[in-house]
Amino acid sequence: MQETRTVVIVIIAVIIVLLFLGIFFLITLTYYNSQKRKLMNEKLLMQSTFHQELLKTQLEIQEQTFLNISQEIHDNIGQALSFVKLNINTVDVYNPEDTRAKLLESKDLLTKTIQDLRDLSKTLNTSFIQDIGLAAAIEQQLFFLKKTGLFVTSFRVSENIYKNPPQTEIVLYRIVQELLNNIVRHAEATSINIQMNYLADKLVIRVSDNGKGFLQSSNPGEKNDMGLGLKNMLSRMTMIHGLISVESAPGKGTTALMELPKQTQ
Amino acid sequence: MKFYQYFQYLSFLIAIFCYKGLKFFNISFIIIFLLISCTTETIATLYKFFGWKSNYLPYNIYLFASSLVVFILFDRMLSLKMLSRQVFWGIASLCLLFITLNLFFLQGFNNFNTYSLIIIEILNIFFCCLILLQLAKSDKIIIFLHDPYFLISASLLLFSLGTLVVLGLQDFILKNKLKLLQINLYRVIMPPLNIILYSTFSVAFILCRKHAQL
Repeated sequence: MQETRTVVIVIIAVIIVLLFLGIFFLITLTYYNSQKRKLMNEKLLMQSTFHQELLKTQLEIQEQTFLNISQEIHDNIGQALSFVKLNINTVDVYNPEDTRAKLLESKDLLTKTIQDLRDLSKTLNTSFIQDIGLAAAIEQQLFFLKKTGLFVTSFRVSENIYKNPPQTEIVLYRIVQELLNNIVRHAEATSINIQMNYLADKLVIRVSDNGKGFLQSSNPGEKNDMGLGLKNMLSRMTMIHGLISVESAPGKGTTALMELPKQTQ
Repeated sequence: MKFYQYFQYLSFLIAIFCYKGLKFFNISFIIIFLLISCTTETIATLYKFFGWKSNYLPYNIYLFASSLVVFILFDRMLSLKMLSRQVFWGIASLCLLFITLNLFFLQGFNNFNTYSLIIIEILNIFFCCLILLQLAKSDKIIIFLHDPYFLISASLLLFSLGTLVVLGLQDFILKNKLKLLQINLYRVIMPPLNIILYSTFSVAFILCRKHAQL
């Protein structure tokens, strides 16, 4: 009787242990799954935030581009066409020499304007950046500046050029464009130098000028044009997982250094 | 009729009611499993009516038939590919072959086929764990307690763990008349396990229907 009782207890104990193990396994799996779900939800949230930020940046870039186009049209193309109009209005048909000179001048101005429009169009075309690559697109920007005769430019790029995802390259290209715009507008520089170094794990771009430079604010929250522009560039670089730093001092030019970890397409 | 049989029939009826949902989850075969279970239990309850000495025969046939259906069910739930599927069916075929050999040549029709049962329950435990791990590894966001595959596999796992001992030692329990609180050990343990199994199945079927409607 006592032996039978012991056997019953052993059997029940074995069943309870087995069921306990089964329940423990199920609880562990459920816990693991809830942690995984939490992580996946966070990832989804991060992805959604990233896309929102990307969209915001694209809108900012678009806004900046429109501003550039507007200025380009107003300062260069508009001026040139107004001058052509003035020439045509003041043509003295009874003075063939004067007429010929003004028509030739107008023709030159129109040729230059057409070229400017082509350059502007190339600058805006993002598929063009993807076709010729980031390095070539940046080199072309420098070439346009060199053509003005106002700047001496130099461009150096390392070997082993690789492509980052198109979206990343466009953002990077627009940042370089903005840096160049800042140099043209504010730096009063005569020399612009760009170095692109494709390292195994990252791309390093250095944009420097010999302009008047500026006093770097010790207060990052200070709102001036340069500060806001830099903040925008910083947020765009952060979004493509890169870094940007600017070094400047009055009379010593400005150097911007960008680092972008290698990204697979 | 035993109390847990009501849960069995209820589960069967819910499965029929939720057929579309089960089809959506590729587990409509579970209806056949429930049909076999309900029929076997009914026949086993009425064995005296048929003039049989024991009800082992229907249970022994049930072991073969239900295993085949459960293997098909596991195959659908695991969604195995090429080689792993061949291995799965290799194991399943060996198991079915053993059940047949055991039925005809070893333990026979008139003894409860405990060897077959032990092998079946071990395989059930193994495949249920495999399904559960597959669910845990899945890239999809799954809430386990709302997932029919989880509920079915988890309840089947617990049922198999419990029955492995009780039914595996059934001969021993009956011979030694092992009792707990004056009730046969088999009758103490089996009903709660059955109730848990079939009520969880019912919840899973309703969830299948709900998911399919979404």
